[in-house]
Amino acid sequence: MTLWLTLLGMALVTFALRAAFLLLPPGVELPPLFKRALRYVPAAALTALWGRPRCWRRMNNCPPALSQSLWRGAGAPRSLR
Amino acid sequence: VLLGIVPFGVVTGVAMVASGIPPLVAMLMSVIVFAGASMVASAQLLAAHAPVLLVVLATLVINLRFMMYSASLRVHFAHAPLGARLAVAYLIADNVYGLMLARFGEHPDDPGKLEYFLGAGVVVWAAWQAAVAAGILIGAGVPPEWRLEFAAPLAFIAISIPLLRDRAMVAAAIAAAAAILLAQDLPLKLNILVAAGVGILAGLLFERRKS
Repeated sequence: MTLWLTLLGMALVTFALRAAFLLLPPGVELPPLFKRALRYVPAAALTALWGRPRCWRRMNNCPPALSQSLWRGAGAPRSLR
Repeated sequence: VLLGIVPFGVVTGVAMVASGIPPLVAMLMSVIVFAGASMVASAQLLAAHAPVLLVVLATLVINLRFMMYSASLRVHFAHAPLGARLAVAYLIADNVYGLMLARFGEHPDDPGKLEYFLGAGVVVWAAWQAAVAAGILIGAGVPPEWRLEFAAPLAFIAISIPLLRDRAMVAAAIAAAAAILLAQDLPLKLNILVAAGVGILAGLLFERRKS
């Protein structure tokens, strides 16, 4: 039951965010400060998720070859730009 | 674009199953939510027995950027029929938005915008679902003693490092990392939301100081 509620909540929230400005009447704009803050949301939120000590403990199970490939791969999009 | 989607989709599928989400529910989540980072995050939080409200709030924070994309895409689709706008909303994703911006960012009056967005969106969507399905199959077929829990942190690192494009973004990430360590004893996993808030504030302050 908890899982289904979570799934429903996630689906509603995500679609509402995606549809927000596509469905609103023209003329409604985001405040400039909010727009600027949105820029930092992915970097801050994702770092908060993987910066947790619990997350790092899980990384102990990661094979060294795989983690090395990951760091190389994470740098790749930058070099493609 | 597809080269970037497939590995992350596979890792997301593996991470969800490794966190204890049943394979069918994981696939359903992928189809309905269609937002990789929040799916991995929710799997992590569910595995840690976080309350539903917190999982939904974390989804809201992680996916806030879609609101920014939605605001930006309104310039192109404000006068499209309702059904088309709903389809556009469902298909909004980082890479589809990036493709749209690259093609029509400087030429917003060119024809064929809706067709281009829907075409790119459907291809990305299909590749993503196939990759997640492959990840779920791999994750479900692996014996528990292989301990694939590291898949989720790997997925987060893979998404977040390319985001650190400028100093303000790096400041936001460092502040969030410091805050998550300092706030790790907060109840209900609220440390994630607090750390994200601190990171956003740090990014804004850095940007202000620089200007």
